[in-house]
Amino acid sequence: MILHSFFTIPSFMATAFVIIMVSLKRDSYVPLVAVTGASLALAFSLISIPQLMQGSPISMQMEEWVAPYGITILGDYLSISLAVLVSFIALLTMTFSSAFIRERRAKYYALLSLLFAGILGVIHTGDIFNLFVFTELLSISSYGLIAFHKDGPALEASIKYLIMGSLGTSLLLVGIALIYGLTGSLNMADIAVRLSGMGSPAVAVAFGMILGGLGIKAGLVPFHTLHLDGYTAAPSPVSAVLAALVANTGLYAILRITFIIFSSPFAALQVLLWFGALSMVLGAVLALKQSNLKRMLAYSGVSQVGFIAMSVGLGTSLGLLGGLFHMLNQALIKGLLFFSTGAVVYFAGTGELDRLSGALKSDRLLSFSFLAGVLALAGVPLFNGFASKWIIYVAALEVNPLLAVLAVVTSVITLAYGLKAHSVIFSGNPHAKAVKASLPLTMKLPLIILTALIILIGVLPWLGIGVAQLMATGLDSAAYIGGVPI
Amino acid sequence: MLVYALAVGVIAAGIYAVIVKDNLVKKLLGLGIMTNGIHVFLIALGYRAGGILPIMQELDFQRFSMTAVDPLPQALVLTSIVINFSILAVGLSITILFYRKFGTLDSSRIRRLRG
Repeated sequence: MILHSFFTIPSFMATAFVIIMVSLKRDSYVPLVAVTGASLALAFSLISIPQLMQGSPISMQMEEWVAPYGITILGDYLSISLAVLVSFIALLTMTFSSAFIRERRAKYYALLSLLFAGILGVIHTGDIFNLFVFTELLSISSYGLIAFHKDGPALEASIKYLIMGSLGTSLLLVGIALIYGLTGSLNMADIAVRLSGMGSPAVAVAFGMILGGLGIKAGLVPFHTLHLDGYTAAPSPVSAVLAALVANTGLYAILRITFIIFSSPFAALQVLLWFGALSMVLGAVLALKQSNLKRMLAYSGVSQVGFIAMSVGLGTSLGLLGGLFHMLNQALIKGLLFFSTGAVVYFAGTGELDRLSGALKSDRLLSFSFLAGVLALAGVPLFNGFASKWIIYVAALEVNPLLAVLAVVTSVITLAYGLKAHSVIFSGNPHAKAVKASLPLTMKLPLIILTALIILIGVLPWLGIGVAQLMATGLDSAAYIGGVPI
Repeated sequence: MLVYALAVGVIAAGIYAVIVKDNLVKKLLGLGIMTNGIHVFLIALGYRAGGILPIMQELDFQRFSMTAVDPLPQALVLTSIVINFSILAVGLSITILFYRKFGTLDSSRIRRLRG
């Protein structure tokens, strides 16, 4: 059976190629090609939902090579939901960038397309070496995108990200090599079968290396600094993609490998739990004292990834549900906040909060969407963050009340820094000259769509919880192994 | 066994260079050395003393699978070499831009983005 959402990967790769070709003739068509490619990918991911209804998971083999030897592409509710999310955010990012990026567009859009191809590859693959290849694809394109402005901070952030990121992916490769040495297989389902009952210490070493390598990609606390520089220096739409999707992709890969291959060992969940809790608190506290808007949001991204990791690390099914639901919500919220920041920077030309005082007092839409993002981030009722954070509080309370208290305190701090930033930009005393211009439609549209979705899921949380429940079935090891014809 | 020890030594030397050296070119070289160590490790995994090339020249699959070395790690290493070539290319081009901007390759002297 052919899994339609697999074609999201080649369609983004083809988009990158066509963009370069088109830019040789007519540079102004580039954003149009990019938006078309992203719409195509979104359509492919959406038409695979009916396929899932007939039975999940669906697996396909590349070039008809049979299962443990060829590369397996696997689609279940978890991967298809994330594929829809990624293609959707991709479409919004491409739309938003068309007014935001005015120079060297072809390079920008081609790299962005390859970044999405890498993310979707990590999401779909059922082969552990293929996972490494797609991780490298997304990493290399993100190094280029972070350096896009070619100014001092961008170059420094990019080279730092490159060196630490390559160290991370090399750790991942060592882990994969160890696993291949132990089991003689690269297929994730096959590895899971062969590893069960194998209690060798080498398994623990391999797992530790994979967890460390992917942890660098996810940006949990000991590795958060390189992400902060990256998010701050990159163009705002790229920061949105990095914060909303790349960090989540790292977490997704950790979850897949922890739950499917190693059938959720207790020690791994404990690591996720405590590093998650640390990231959650530290990210929020440090965000409070930032004077740069993007850096503040970058810290808050670290804090939100910590929320998800902590919730999953609790090890209960409620914690898993809350974590996956928050993963969806966080992607929408971070997308909205970084797009709003992008619009602010687009007008005011700076991200420093003290120079932004009252700069955008007149822009109602921007003010409202930023406020919606902040309230959703802090988990205020009627916004989507509330439902997922509520589940996380309840799940944490059942396991360790201290964690629940920490989570609530973190949310309060989140509200504090979010509202501080909002009040400075949109209602401070305008000592900077107030900008009186309206946003171009291509920037307005993503803001409106994301705000509407955030409020829709906030008012009708059952929609999101239903999706998260289906996603959690993707982490059931037996179902996953049963879905691959080994 | 000796070849595994060698691989671990090379990987450790690479990681040392990446973490301790301040010069960006040395850091990138360290990355290259480290991945070469991983490649040695991978090739050693598939090695078989006295094994033949993993190319099927006659249709006796049983005998072939008993005598040939494991071809899969070689394919993995080939992929990994290509990936690391592109990382090195991107890294060096960013380093060139970095040198033009700051006039130095010393990463410890640029601390503009602390926070």
